[in-house]
Amino acid sequence: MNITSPEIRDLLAAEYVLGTMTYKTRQRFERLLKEDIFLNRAVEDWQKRLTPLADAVSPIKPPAKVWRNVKKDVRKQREKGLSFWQKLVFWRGLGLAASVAAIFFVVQSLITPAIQATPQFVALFEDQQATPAWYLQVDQKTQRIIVKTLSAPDIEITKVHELWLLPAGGKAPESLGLLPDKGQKKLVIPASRLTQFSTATGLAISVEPAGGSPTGLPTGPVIMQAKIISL
Amino acid sequence: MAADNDTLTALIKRCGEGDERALKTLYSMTSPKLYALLLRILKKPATAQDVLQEVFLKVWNKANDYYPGKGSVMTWMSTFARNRAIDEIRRFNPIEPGSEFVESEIKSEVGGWQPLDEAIKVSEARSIEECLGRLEENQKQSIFLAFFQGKTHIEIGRVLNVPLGTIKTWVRRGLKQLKECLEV
Repeated sequence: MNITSPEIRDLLAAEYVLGTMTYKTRQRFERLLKEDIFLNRAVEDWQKRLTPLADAVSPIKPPAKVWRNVKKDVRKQREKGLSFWQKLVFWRGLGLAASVAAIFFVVQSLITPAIQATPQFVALFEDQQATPAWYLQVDQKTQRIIVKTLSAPDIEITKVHELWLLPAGGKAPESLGLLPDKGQKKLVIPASRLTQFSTATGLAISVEPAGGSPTGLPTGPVIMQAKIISL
Repeated sequence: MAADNDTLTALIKRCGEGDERALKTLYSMTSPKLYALLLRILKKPATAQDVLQEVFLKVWNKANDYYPGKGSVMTWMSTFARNRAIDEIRRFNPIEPGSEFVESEIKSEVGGWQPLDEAIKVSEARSIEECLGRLEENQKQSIFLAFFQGKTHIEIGRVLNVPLGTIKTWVRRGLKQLKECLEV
């Protein structure tokens, strides 16, 4: 199936959305959808045109067990997501809050130029020997994370450390950017991601190829994990 | 419980943040319409229930992918539902020879089409209703059978008792006119 003319593209997109394609044709079409952005747009447009028809059905309440099963699925997934991360790095646990508060005041003086507003969140990454590695301050108002390197672990010259947010609900980690190996760096965070800090389960650091993960998810080993502490 | 798109959008956003209660509220507001849609395509309640379950898990996982450019929340969710349902029937229900389609089925399919709830007035939905109303009867019936029952051209031909080529023409002309009407 070679789609060259915009008219044919449009027609195929419409038939796909309408649902008249046979099984094999659908499969072939879906393979094309993965590569052809114009085809994707055509499909999206037809979805917006036709699918509102679905609003016209008379509602029928599904049996209660469907919701119970959805809940079970969500919980199972959440457990899988959390346990994956927890297995990787030993949680420092209760001691962390106290040590972070102490370090906060010391490190504040080291961070230049100072962000005048009080940061809303902080986090401290420590290695397995409890040596502080990176200290983070999140300022929601300025949409920035200030990263202060305390003692970055050694890393191959072809690799980088990437910072990840672990959203609530055991969902896939989201990249916050690359960490410096020395000194200080500011990471700019989109507003939508900043709001996730208050509900996130924590932060993590993975080792990635130069430039960061090529897939949008951690590809290398997760070497550290930290709790997000709100001030 | 009818829900306006703003409410649903806020719920989707909270689902994206991991709020399970938001998913529960979303489910109670939207599952009846989605279930009804799935039943029409899949016929078997057990299958419709399984697909409904999958749809909500997908909505939960993809909540952060939703943005208003994709249409209303109901459109977005219905797309998952219809796609999954059509995959299901294509894979497991080959065209059955000798299935009988009674004329009353056609009439009930088209005639039983409910006018939209006053409460669910998303402007896009009203337009499709209007535009469908302007189609020729043959085009309208063909598109209905495809949309609400997930039928292929051949299957529609069997129901309406016309050759494949004719169905294709009706469907294509109908779609073309819908597009022109909606874009006015």
